[in-house]
Amino acid sequence: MSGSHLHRRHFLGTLGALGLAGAHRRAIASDATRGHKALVCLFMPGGLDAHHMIVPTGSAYDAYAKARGPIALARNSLLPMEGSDFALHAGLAHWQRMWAEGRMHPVFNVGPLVQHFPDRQAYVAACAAGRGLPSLLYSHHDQQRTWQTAEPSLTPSNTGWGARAMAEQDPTGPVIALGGMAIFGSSRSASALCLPEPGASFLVPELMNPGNPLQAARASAFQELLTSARAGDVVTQAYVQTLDEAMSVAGELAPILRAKPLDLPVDDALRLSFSPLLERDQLKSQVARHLFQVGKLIRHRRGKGVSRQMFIVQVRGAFDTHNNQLASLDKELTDLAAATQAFYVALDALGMGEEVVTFTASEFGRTFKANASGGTDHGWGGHHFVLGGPHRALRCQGVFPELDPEGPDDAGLRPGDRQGRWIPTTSIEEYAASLLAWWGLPPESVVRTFPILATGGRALPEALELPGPA
Amino acid sequence: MPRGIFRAFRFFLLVLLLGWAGLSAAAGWDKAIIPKGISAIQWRAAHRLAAQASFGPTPALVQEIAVQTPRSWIAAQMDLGPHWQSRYLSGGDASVDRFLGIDRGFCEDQPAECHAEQLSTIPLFRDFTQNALQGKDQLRQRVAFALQSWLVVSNRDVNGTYGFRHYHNGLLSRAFANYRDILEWVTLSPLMGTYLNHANNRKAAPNENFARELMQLFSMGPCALPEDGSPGDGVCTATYDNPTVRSVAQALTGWTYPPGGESGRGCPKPFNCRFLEGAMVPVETEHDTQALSLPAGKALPAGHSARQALDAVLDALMAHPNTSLHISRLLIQNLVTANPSPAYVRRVVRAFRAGRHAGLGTGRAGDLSATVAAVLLDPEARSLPTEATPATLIEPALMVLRSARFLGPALVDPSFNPLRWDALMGEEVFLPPSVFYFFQPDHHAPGTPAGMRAPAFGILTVATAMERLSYLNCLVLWKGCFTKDVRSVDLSAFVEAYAQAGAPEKQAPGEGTVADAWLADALAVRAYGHTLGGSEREALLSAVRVPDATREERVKNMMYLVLASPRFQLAR
Repeated sequence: MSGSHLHRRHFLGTLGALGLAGAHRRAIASDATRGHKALVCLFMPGGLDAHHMIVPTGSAYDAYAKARGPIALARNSLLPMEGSDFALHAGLAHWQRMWAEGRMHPVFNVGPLVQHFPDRQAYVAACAAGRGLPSLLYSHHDQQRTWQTAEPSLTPSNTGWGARAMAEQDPTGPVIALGGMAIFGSSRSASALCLPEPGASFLVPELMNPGNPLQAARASAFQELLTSARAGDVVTQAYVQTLDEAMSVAGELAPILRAKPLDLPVDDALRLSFSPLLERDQLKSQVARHLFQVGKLIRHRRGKGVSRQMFIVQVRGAFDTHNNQLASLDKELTDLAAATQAFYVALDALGMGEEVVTFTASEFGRTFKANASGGTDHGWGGHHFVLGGPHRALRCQGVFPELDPEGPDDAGLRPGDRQGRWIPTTSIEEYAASLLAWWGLPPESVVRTFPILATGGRALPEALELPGPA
Repeated sequence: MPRGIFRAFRFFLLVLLLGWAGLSAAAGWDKAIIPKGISAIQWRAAHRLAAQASFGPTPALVQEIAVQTPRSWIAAQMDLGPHWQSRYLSGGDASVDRFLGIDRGFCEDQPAECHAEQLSTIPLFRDFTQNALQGKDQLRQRVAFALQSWLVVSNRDVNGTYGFRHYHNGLLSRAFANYRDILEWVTLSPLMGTYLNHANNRKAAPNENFARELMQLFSMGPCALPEDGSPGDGVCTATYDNPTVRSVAQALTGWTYPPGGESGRGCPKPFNCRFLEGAMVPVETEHDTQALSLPAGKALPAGHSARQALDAVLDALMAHPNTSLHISRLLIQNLVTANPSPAYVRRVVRAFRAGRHAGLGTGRAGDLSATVAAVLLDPEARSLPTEATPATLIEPALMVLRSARFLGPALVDPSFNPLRWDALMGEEVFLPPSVFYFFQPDHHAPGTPAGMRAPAFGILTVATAMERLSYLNCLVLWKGCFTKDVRSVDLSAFVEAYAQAGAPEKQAPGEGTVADAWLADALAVRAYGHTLGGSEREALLSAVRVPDATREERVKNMMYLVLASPRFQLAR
């Protein structure tokens, strides 16, 4: 759409079953040894304003500053990304270093797409025909489900793309969630394995390891009650299934999950890297607590021979920045960068930094124009970031929008509705397929995960090469 | 008999009954499981209504319901005078919004409790728990609790204890009011105004937050719902588009806080400073007066005042058929079942639209006394479920309160405050993570048929499921571990009744006693409304067949199982 100076994707008419281009073929080859790989989705519910994270430094800065008004980041506060025309929010210093090492890749303007639009006219025509906008665009809850399920239609019983991809690799492997239930990990039959924060006991010892005859009688009677309940209605059965899973994983995982940084040996890599984030023995930010858990689990499960791991971390922060964005988002971004830094410092020390790719996601980007309360409203496409994995040449991916609410990339069709809600240029499926290619999913599995990629008549660009095979 | 006198007479009868039920319950634990004159089937039916319409059945409440018709009990609940109305009373005043300091925070250099008492909802949680345990106005409280699950404000994003007290008292006093009036009160609530940013919203660049959620969550919902009452799982036909969101945002510009607030930084001209009591007031110079198109195909000609625009928006939302479908379904899901039949929804929608049901309500569309009566009096709510009826998982806050009310007088700690547990179980009351609450009414649990709803499964994980069991461990086996050094629970009345039923102090080896069977039946009748059959009853009995175990140990073992059983954790 915009005349971007960046790498411009060329468009394919349709995408054949194996049309995901070179990335996948190379991925298969590199996956022959089936080494360990973990994908971590860092989902920020609320609608992440990535225009507050990555800012153009060239001539486009003026357009940015004008539309953003009081919430624009000062040019001299930004951290330049060497070799690009972009810079990062001052809180993201560690990401700046990762960029310089080729381990942080921005992907511009990603979002749900019913179809690609070669130009604005095509978008306007599609809207007029009722085929322009994804269902329930701009709704938090529904777009969270859209991002996490990426199914052609949106219903409450959708499955998550994390679970579908995991099923292609290991039908019994769970998607592990931190920060609450995530449909990303839901299959038809099971939810994500959603685990607790450090310090939680995650055990009812008397029921699980009864220590005397009274407890033994109680524990066995409890199992009898569960047996009766399994013969009951479908919802009760689903409840019992959760309890069964809890009791079966807790024995193995509770001691690992319970450990806080200072409970680990003094020379433990995770203890060392997360200790600077402690405040009175506790990790003060939620995202740090979650990534600390993920770090312990990746190490533990890898040691058990698990070769493909999939996580989703939901950061329940102040990302829905309708007002007072400067203060609230500054804090969130600082926490985010500190936690990912601790995470990758530990993984690198463990020799696993190249095996773990972390990618951001959120239900939508936000309006480019600020509102009168020092915030931004719900948008559509947003910029995202892929961290870790193999070192690669510096490159921004995707197409940066033309920063003009009145311009070709804005989704608004009426004068009052031109707020800078960007029509995405990379679909969720393309973003996800690229990550799954790195994860080692063969093309036919990717297409089963996202049937839309095999559907004729929908113009989709080739998959991004992110982070690319090693 | 004139209506007034009849009412007074009925009230007199009710007082007599309540007094009698209260006395016999307070006398502790009669050996007879169900009081004389009430059949097992009456008890079971009354127990079920108590579970739907209160924070948990107690013997006294079940008895009170069992001796009258469901309609008369519901009408009596709605008629309870102001004297009986629960209120939030604790916590600090408005001084947080009259603070003139600019270099320091409000609670700096203040006593340690400043944050809790002046800024947080901890005082509300105390009152909420006590009201739920003791208040007579159970139905009012349950409906208010339902309303706050979608008319959401959160202490996670906004500080100011007094503002939350005001808001939640407002919901309590409007539990049986008209939904149109509730929407207006919520829209003009200064707490909502600050939470969803429509207080001090300027016409030049309006903030869209409130406008969007007003339509999506508080009234119509985003997709057209079928008139047949089905949940509408197919392709979404949008009820509004983004320009409509902007129109509504523009229509609602020009409202500010009621006067009363001050700030060392001054107030944002021409608006008032933040103040969270009373109703917001218009500032016409910041109201966008242009012609606007509104939801449901309504239009607002140019030149309107802020008040005219507000009325037009709310009237348009109430006129949209979706609003009655959406709100009726939410009330059913909160009180009775997550999966009502379409016909059940249709019947409740009819009551919402007519504003009158079973002789209750004013006859004006949106009347919640009529709607709530229709929800609870419906054949689907009143006929007894089968074992195959899809159950509804009890959300953690309700589970905590139900188990506390189950204990009744055995809960001896007057300041019972299970605060920490709420967080561990995923539902910190008054602190939802966003305006989308803790979970969604259309949440689907994998493994159940497509189309099946399981709202509280949105926060049911292996971690929170374990915490539910841990909580009961604390409550029953460790006699409560909520407040330091305080034993919250004293089970001696239960143990004494068990002894009276013939239980020996030490269990002998062998098959157990008749008293064990009595205990299993008595606890089941109290917790579930009926005795158990077959393997479940046998499981309870097996838990006390432990040689040498004391009476108290046996009571605790069995009571734990009764509460930890899926039969208590889910409701039908």
